Amino acid sequence: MADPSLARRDFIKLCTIGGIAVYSAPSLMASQAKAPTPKYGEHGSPKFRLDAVAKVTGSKIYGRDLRSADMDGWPSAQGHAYLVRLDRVDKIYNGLNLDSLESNERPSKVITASTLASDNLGLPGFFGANAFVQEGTAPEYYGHAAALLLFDDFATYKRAKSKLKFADNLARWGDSVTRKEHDRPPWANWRIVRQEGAGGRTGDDVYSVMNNGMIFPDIKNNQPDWPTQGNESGDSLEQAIYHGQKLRQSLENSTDSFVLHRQYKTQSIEPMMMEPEAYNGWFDRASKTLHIVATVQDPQEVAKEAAHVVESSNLKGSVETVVMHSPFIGGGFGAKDHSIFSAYGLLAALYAGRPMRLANDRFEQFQSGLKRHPFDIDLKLAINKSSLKFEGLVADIKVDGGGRANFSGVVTMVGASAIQSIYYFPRNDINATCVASPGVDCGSMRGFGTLQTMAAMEMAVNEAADQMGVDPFDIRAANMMLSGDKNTQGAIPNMGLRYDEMIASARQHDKWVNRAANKQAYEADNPGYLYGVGYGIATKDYGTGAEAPAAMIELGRDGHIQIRVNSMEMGTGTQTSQAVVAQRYVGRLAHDVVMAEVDKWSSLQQFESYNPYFISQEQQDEASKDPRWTPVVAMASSASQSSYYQSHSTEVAARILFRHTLWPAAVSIWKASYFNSRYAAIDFGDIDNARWSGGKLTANGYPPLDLATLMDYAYENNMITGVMVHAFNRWAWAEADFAIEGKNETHTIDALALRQGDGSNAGADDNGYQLVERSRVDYPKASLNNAMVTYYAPAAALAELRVHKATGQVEILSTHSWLETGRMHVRELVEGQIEGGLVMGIGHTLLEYMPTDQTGPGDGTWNLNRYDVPKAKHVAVWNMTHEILPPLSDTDPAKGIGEVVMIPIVSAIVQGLHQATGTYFYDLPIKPKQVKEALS
Amino acid sequence: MKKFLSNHPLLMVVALLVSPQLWANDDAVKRGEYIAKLGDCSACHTAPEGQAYAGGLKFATPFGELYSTNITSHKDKGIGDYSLQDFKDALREGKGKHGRLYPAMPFTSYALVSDQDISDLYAYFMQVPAADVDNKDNDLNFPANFRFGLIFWSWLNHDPQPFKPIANKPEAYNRGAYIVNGLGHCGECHTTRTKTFGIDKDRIFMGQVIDGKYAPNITATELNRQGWTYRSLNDLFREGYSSKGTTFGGMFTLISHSMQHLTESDMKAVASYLLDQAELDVDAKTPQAKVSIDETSPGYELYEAHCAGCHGGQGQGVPNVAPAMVGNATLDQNHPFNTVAVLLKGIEPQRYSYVRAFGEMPGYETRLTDAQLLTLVNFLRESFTEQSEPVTQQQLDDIRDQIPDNAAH
Amino acid sequence: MSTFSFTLNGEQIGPLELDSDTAMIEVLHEYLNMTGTKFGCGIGVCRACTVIVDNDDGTSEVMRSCINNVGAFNGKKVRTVEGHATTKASGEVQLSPVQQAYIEGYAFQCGWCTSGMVNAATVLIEQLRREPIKKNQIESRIEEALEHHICRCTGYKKYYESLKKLIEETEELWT
Repeated sequence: MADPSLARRDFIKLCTIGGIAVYSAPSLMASQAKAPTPKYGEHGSPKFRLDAVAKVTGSKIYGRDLRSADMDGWPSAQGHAYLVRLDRVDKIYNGLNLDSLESNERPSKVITASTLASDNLGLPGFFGANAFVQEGTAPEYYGHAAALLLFDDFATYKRAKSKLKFADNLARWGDSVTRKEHDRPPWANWRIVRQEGAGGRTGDDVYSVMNNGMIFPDIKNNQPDWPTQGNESGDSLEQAIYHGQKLRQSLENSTDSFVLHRQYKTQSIEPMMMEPEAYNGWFDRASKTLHIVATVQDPQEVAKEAAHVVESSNLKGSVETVVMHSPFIGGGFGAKDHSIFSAYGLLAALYAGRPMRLANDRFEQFQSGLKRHPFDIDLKLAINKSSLKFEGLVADIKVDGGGRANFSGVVTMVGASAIQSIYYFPRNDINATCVASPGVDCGSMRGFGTLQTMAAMEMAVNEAADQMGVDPFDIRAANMMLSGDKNTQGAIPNMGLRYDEMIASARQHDKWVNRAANKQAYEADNPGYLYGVGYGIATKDYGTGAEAPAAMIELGRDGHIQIRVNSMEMGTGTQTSQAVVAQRYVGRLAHDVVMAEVDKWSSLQQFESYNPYFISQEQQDEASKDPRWTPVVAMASSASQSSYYQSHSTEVAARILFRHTLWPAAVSIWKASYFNSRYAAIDFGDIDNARWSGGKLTANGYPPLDLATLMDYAYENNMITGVMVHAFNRWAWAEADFAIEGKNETHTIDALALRQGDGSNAGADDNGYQLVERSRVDYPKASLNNAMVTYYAPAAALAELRVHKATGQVEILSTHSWLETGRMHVRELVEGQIEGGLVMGIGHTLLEYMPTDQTGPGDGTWNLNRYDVPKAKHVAVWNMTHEILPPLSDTDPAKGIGEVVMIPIVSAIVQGLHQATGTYFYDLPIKPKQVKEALS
Repeated sequence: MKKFLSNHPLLMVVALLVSPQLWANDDAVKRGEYIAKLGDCSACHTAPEGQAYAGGLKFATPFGELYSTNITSHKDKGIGDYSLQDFKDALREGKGKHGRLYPAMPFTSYALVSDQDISDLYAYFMQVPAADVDNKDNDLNFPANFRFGLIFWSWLNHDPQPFKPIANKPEAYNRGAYIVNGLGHCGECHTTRTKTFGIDKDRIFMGQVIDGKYAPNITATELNRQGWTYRSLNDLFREGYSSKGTTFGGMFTLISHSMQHLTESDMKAVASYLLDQAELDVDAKTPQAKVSIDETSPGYELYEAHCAGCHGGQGQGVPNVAPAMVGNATLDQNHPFNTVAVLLKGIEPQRYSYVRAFGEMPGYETRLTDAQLLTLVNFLRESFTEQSEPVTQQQLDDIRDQIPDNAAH
Repeated sequence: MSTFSFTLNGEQIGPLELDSDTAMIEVLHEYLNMTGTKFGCGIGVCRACTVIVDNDDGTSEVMRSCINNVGAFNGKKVRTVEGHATTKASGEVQLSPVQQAYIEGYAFQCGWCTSGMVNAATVLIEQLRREPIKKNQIESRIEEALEHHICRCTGYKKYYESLKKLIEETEELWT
């Protein structure tokens, strides 16, 4: 290292990849965002977010803010890189033309496909091949990168970029090429078939992918080639085809059922997180260390990928250490998770002799940032005319994944599995394919496919009810899933379902009850407008089926509470909510919550060895014999995961600390100071009698003790002062036994390390922790991967709107949302998620649109002048209300909710438009032009 | 046929009993809808918050305030009781069924509209849903508040003549002339008015100031001098954005409501006429425009500080975001009116479609002094246009006087 | 290259030798390392980069630092989000009323639009201090002040409501 003060112990090793050690630096946000600890507000929640002061004063906490001068030990000179991306796919690319650059505009280095080839450098495997378009070939997609230009300083970079950015002659173009549809194989294919058995919805299924295993087609002419002939007693694929075909045929000639057959389309959406992506990297050749600062949701992945890329190239050996700095991010919405952008930042850093910063401007973010997948959905919904029960669901879904496979496979899967929304189907055949196209690549944007499909289902339910002449709420009541029902995959959702309460509340809402009279009155008063009210409900699955949240809690001698977690803070308030989670065990809000912690987990000494999604039961059984093995060491972060998954780990850690330290310390102090223990035994009662009051612990009337008193005792007696846990969830939590202070205990975690006293015991590691090896572990069965998803959080929305007849403009007048969140950590944070999700849903339904062809953002000229994201005037900001279902009990888990509120508003608006205009709309966004045409 | 039907007494009775939609010929209605767009009827007859064609839009005229009228099929409040002949008289002669029309209604242009088009337009309006909206009272000064005075205006200014094709020009050119002069009523804005506010026949299309903006000279001579082509006109008329710049003011709404709906053949016809190209050159490229930036001039400093952020250090603009100054037709107007007006007041955000929209241009009225404004305007003209005369303080004052205080474009 | 000077949060900056097409936000970020002002769209639409300019007549106004180059601020008094809070002798941070209202109202989430929202609201409060409004105009004035500011996380409601609460509780701002 250039700066000797950056001793090796400052960076804690995360893992070793091909001889390269990956480290995490002390968290930037801990050092840079010295926020005062919030005071208690109403509801026992903090008066403001833990990151509030840093954010409202403009502190340097974001990845994009950090320059070399801000980084300890970095040289101060900051280089700037310009990534040249191409705007067409229909011609052969013959290289760059930089002739126009004057001497004070020239890059110090130009990196192209041939540079990478000579060093055998490439992209992380996740992103595929061809980081840069090779000369003599056509770009694979709009925005495909051609070269990285490295500049020594900002002024030179700026001059060059101003000249080159929109220049017509920057690339030399050769012959035309024709692009055909299906010129590459699809990114993913899924088929979800289920046939309920004779025992009905609670009996065994005749067929389900959960029981029979997932099925995949052959690929022919770059398209899925599903067998046409099924076999009732064949293999899983043949059985699936048999039941699927049978269902399809029965819908063709059914007389008892009403079949609604519709096509729904969604558009390509720009996540438009406010902070465009940025990367600052310094490759310190002298110490063979690569430092990274990046605006990413998955810092661990980015650090590991960097090591992989170097290790498999000719640069192998020139990097021994990768140090990852993890800052706050200014919005992500999934688009900063596995974004290819970091791969280019890495290349820039590797070739620069100085800290090199690559930062997208907004045009570049539009041109290259991950998009939400557009879905084309052909849906058939069969409803029994007398019972109103759903009899079958057939869906053929085509998803456009864009130019590179990102999370297209899982997004397509999750979208397909979500189309059932809140409803139970005895039979389903859902066939989804995600195609490769020349569009900008799509990723795991907020909603993860469910926004597209679930909204379609809800639109279908509303329209079917209308056509059958029945109340849509009767259809919902007849078909909502009940606790214990199976989903379309054949798996049973993990929690009690409370759709009935949500539906009951909505059908009594006065705007719904009085909608006809209100319409009449409104239109009489406002003859230029049409009025409508619509409702929608949805339930969002959350989780990835391979969640690995780690958490640690440490109490100082003075009672200072510090929590560290591996989640990112993306703005949703994860940091604040973790402070609240521990509160019930430690009596007050944590003083300090460090996010995106990577370094400390080394105390758990875990390793992974298989892809958690494709591991077999035998492999898992064998691997889990090693007490340090885990299916996934660390997890990527997304907003909705954090509140449920991350809180679980934090809570377990806090509980262990409470049981082993705070409670016994209190009992000892009470015994010693307030009771004549020498003369009589005393029962302080069950640990359950313990109560925190005003930050002090009491039980059965014994004097309240504050944390400092308790912890002083704990330090004095070398009790546990820090607990570090790692958990794993594959639609259920792993459970393991640990011997803690000589007693065997079972916890829903798979790794544990403890700190005693000040952490200086013999056997303690650099972190002051000692591993407690598990004696038994029970991981969720590998076959639970077939469940695809089982965790759900429901939301519903009512939208009141008006349509300007002359122009077709749609204006939201008011909204009301319902949400079932389980136990809430911080009400204001949940409300913020409701309001933000709702508004993003309004944008999806009415405003946001980009073509995916050569006129779309891949051309590099898209920005917010054209892409219309919702502003306050679009969303009835003063008339936005909600109600949150109270938890069933205070033991309800906190659910992931960020995304779900976005979904029901879509169908609520569509139904409101139907009430206003008499027309159903199927293509999103619904443009004034479509509405106006419907009116004429 | 339509004429016969609508005038036949028996059918008139039937028509009163059933809704007009039932006897409207679908094709005629469809054609009529297109003609209504060409004529941009809704621009004046639909108020921003109002119902389609229900009128109520306010016009500030030299005589006082006028309101457009309800032209929906409402029997009492709209024109539902008009016969085809009544409709024709109103359109061509300004003879309303209930009195003379104010010349804000461009009947001098509509006089050229063919019988067929009028009858299609009639079919369309007879099925426009009736809006139960009363016409607003106009607030006019004497003597214009007496409608009979308009007879004299008509006598002076209006000479209804049917459209006459020019014999030696191709059909497309004549179709263009018909659209531009008739339904399009382009001359109503782009031609100077006489003292009685009629169109000055000697100065057709030579431009005039209207509503605080300058409707520029659109004669073929001027358009060709500026380097307009079929493609740039097409871009401008379809999307409000072209290599020659963007639109603002009335032209923005005109494109949204009317011009972007032109069929491809009509667009070509219009271009053929406007550019005076009997054989339209559809592939013509915009000629290289002048750029000669003097980086030592004081105007350059102002340009760099206030303009270059969007319009580019070399005036190249930002594609699909901010128009280039190079080749910009607004700058290159001999009359500096729009350059000054836009600099003073800015331009409001504009949305043409889901893929074409612009953010606002800020106004610099309070940010720059008059001296700075003049320096900047003259820098722009020197750098990017052939206009060599410097703009004077007197011109600046005159222009400012003609812009309503609250105007943004 | 030209020479530019201005004051930033009361401190004299410059003279700086810069290319004249350097955007103000680039000066703040790349030459002064002041990154509290956020880059959002770069074309003047989203308002994340809004800063305050204090005029000699005592009025203040918002300006976008992305579309205005440094020359537009030459000789001016500029305030950014870093300039609102003060640090007491005790080391405790004293936020401005707008900042305090926003944090207590949980107004923001990711925080990227926050500096623009703080500056726009601050200018509004300063306007109302000079020219109080009627109480029933509070909502519409908030709409005017914040309408162009884009936020992608929050749904705007908590920004609007916390600012409304602040104005309602500050009686000299309305009559």
